[in-house]
Amino acid sequence: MMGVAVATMRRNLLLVPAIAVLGGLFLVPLVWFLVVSFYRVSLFQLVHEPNLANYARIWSDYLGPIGYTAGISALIAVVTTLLAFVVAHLIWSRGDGWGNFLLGATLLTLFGGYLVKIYAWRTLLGREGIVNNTLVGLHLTDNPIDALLYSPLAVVLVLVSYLLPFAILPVYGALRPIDPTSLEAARDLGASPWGVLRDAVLPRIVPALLTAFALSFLVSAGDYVTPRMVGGTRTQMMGNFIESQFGLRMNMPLGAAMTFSTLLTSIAVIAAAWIGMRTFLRAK
Amino acid sequence: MLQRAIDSSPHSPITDAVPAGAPLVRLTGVAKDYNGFQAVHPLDMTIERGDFVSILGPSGCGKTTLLRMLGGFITPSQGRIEVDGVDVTALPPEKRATNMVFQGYGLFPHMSVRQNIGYGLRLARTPAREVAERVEEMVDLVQLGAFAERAPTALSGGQQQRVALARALIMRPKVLLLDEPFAALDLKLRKAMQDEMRRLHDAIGGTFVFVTHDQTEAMALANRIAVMEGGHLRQLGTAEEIYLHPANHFVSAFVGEANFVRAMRRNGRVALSNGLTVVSPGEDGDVEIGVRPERLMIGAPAEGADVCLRGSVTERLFLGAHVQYRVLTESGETLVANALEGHFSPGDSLRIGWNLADQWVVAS
Repeated sequence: MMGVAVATMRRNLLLVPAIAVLGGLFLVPLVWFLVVSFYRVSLFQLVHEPNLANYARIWSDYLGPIGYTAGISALIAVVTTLLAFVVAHLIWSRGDGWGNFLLGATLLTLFGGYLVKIYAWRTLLGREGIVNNTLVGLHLTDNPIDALLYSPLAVVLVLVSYLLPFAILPVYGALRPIDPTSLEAARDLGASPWGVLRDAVLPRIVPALLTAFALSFLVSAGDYVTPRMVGGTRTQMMGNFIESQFGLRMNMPLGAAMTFSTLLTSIAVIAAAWIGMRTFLRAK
Repeated sequence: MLQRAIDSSPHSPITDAVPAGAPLVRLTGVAKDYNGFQAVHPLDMTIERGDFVSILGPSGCGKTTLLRMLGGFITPSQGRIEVDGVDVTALPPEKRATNMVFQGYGLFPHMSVRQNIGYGLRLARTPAREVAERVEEMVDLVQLGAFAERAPTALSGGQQQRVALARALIMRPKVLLLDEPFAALDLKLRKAMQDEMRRLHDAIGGTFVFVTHDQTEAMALANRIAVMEGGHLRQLGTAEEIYLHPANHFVSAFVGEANFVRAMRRNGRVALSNGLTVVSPGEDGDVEIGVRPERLMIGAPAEGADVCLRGSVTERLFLGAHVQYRVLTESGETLVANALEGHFSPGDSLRIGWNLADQWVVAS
């Protein structure tokens, strides 16, 4: 008995560094922010008087931006997850060189940095960009279309293309262990090709699809660089507002309150996505 | 009953109406070509209602390809497959009245045993109550009552095998296809599953087609055996027919053990080394006389045999159930004889012989 207790203690001891890093660098600052979100700022100083003024202000002024952020992020997450499934399925179902080529191409895109991709899209979509030059050159439009860049569409394009490889990998990882024989068995028992997907594939990769969705959603909902670089003045996402509270406006309590409001909304969206996937991605 | 299958040249499709008592499955000139590799050469085959057919052959002989063409997983390059008078050649698996038990089982890990078994009926929009009843029937039939709510991954190989069987049988297929279903099981479990398959076939009837590379299994289960080699159907017949009267050298050597003695055929007669000639219709040329080791007689009994040769023992192996002798005949052929008695030793001279009824003649 003693030996078991010691062994358990030793094993727990091994967890200490991980807990210390997670706790010290993630949980403690988060709790600190939560506390700060109930304070206020006066003359650039934190005033330690708990109140709900920050949340009241968000309720009156920022519900729109929070909803907009959640909406566009959910759109990005849905598109990314769908595309990730299509590509991962293609990689998985193609045993030949094609699958490996696609997987290699997916990994290769990870070499391009985030900012590089943003500038690449600016080159494509800008006033003098490749798309506009082509359209004008083909006389499909008389003048370049400004709405290509500096629009919500550009934000969606940039973030989807940036997030896609990250979303493909978990989905591909979940598809790999699926026994191809079980797909043939489903066909044999009367399932159409679509039925096989619905009954033998999708229900088995719900956790991976949720991972892809949550990853894409959280990165999008927290991003403030892409909206600023390609979103134009109309696309203001919560990341931008939060950033300005911590930066220019030096209102850390309001920024913290915005952060938690966005976080709660994000958790709600992801929970909804989880419930939705569990409800709809079920085998017959 | 004896049905000979012969490799056929490409056929024109049969357009006649199906007469009563027609075979349940009819393959006409069915072949599969993979970019120049001929996995299955054009072959004809019929399967009767209630048959338990085994497709037997070494790996790579095309037996699984043939089975998968029956199931609809592989489209034949040519030929025609009819099930119950309906041309199914172009139909996908989900539209065929055949169901398959796969080698790797292919169970759905995200469904319980019951859900696995009922899946096909649910797809067919069978009323929930009927699904539940028929699932229970199947669960009882394959004796999985205690495990019915478990996930398949929590079952042993033999139990998973039974789930796969139940999941296919519940569809009441016109033909049940089995692709080496016992390959992954240990010998003892294999025997038990073979008994269970026989029991099932007796209990529910139906037509089973069973792929295996294990001749003992084929003989234990099937009422007809199709022997394949290199994409050709070499012989189709009962276990007795293919064992006692193999149609060619391959079947002789593949099914059981065989001794071969070279001989010549002239004008429909084959001359044996002791001067005896036997009637054996066929083309003139080199032939082989085949005889099974357990049909060879040695010592005193051999002197009364139709064919009797002199030889000497080169090897004696005690194998438990019998003693195996290797005998070098005076004409320079090595024969293997299985005997119950073991009173000869290497170096002993002896007579070895067999009766004409126990031999067969095939082209070499």
